[in-house]
Amino acid sequence: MPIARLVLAGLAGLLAALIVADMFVMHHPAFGIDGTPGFAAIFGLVASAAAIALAFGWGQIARRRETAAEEEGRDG
Amino acid sequence: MAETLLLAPWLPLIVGSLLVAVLRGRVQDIVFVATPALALILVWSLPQTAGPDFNWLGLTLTPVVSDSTARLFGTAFALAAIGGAIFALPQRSSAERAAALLYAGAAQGVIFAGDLVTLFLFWEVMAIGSALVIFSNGASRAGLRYALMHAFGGVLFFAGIAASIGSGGTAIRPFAADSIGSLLMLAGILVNAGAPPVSAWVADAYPRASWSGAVFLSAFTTKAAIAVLIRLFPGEAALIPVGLIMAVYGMIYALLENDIRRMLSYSIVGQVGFMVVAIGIGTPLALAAAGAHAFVHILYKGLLMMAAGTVLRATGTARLTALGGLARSMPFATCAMIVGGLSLSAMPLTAGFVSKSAIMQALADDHDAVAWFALTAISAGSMLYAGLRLPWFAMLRPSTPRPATLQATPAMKLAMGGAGLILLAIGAAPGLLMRFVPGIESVAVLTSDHILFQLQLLVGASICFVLFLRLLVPHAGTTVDTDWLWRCLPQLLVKAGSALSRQVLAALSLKSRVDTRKIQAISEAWVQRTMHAGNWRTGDIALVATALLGICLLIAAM
Repeated sequence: MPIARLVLAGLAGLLAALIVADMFVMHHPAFGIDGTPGFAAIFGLVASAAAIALAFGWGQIARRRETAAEEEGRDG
Repeated sequence: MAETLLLAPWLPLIVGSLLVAVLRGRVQDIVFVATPALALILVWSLPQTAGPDFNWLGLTLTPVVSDSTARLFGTAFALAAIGGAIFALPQRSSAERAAALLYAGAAQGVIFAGDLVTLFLFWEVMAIGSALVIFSNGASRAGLRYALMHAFGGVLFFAGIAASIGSGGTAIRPFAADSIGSLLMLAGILVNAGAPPVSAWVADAYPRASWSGAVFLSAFTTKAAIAVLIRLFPGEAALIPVGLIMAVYGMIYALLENDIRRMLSYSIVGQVGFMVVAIGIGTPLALAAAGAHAFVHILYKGLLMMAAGTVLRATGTARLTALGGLARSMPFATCAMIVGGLSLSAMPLTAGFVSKSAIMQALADDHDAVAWFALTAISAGSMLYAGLRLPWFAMLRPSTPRPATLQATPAMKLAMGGAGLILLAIGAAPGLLMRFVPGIESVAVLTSDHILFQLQLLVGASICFVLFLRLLVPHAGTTVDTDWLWRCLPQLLVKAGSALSRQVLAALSLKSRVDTRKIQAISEAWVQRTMHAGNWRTGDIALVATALLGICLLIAAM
């Protein structure tokens, strides 16, 4: 998956650049910790991973697989 | 007095609904688009003074009155109706058009109602109009489920109003959820807002409308509930956990969904959750932020529904598993989906960034750390499904595309382009929205630290999307939801009951014939006694229910 790796590297580079830029701006934190440079990057990664884990886990419990025809036929 | 009534924004829409039902051809097209435009003019022409009063059965009714909240929601509803009507011009269903205008008119009526009785009347007409939009697509079972759910919410709301009128008249005023009456009212409103445990009706009903009908459905009911919550329950602390549950629920179910319009319906619940949390905070900034987010949400959700409708109309399906590779053949819809998705994700330079910033500022000012961190995390999750998963799997991923048999018409492009431009204009110049909503003027939106914070959050989400792409691949299927309680549980209970009765009968049959004769005699006697029992006719039920409700109203008014 070379394209995926390339995209991942690009995004990682962009995130690193944003974190560096974050070190040079004046922060107005609401709760202290959110004013730490790079906090939003880590929070975004952790929150997104948690969201995917939560959705995947709930999908394992509550998602019923159907064929495309069954899915279409549900409507009405 | 009569002049003010003629300025009621709901009037041209309801008259237009009747006209559209009888007119045909080009004249119908003109009425369909012109009446929402006239409603928008009236929203801004109506003076913000006390409305005309009428006395009816000892109740003081005010059919139309304007204030800043009414003007904000009225503008959003009128824009949604204009955009929806222009987008739906290729849709030749007169029934859908008439229902959509009735629905839009009733939504304006809810917003501009000056008393609880008028509010309830328009509330019910809104339910009828929206159900008719679903019925007009031939989805009779889904329409019936939707109508029943709103009848349930309407009964709760009416009972609450009837119980509350005695202690303060029909005036619209803030309530606290500390009495049976106000609790019933709150429950009735939350049914329409899509709050748990009945959130499932949104995703059950909206995808059953036509490719154009869903655009109207996405705009009015839940946001009218938000406007009513702002008026009746500002600062009700119980709304904060309710809103947080809605936001989490909407995100998880949207991440799992395969059908684009079901995904967007779950997303409606999630985004309405943001507004409900803000109303629960209840400060002037929070209430203004809830209104601003409702305004922006109506625009970007309408845009996303239009993009989904364009795909459905062109390819015959809205399933992500059957889509992909459409970006080249449908560039306009792709752009609309991306702009709408990024706005929903609160990407800087989109309108969603402005309104969500206002909500987060209100939470920060209120020192509500739990809600602030939770909604920030959910914003990252919103990027996953709306900003990335939806456009990637529907349009951008390399795939053999389904043939797009029907391209978007110029009218559809105009509607999508208009909504997209407004979203981007507000994002680039937040003052445009703040002029409508002065309560959020103090929020610093386009500051370097705030933009960097949001960009880091969204890029972090994007990295997770690429890393865990396999887990986010759509699959055909259905996710068990709370509607299991009213769609599956009764069937299971009936099956279990019949199985139990069979076992009991089998056990009884082992006994002597004398016992069997006794049982037969008893059962025959029982049948004789209950011969005249049975379900009431629907008309009788309606008559008795109406009489009881009327008696409640009269007692409360005395």
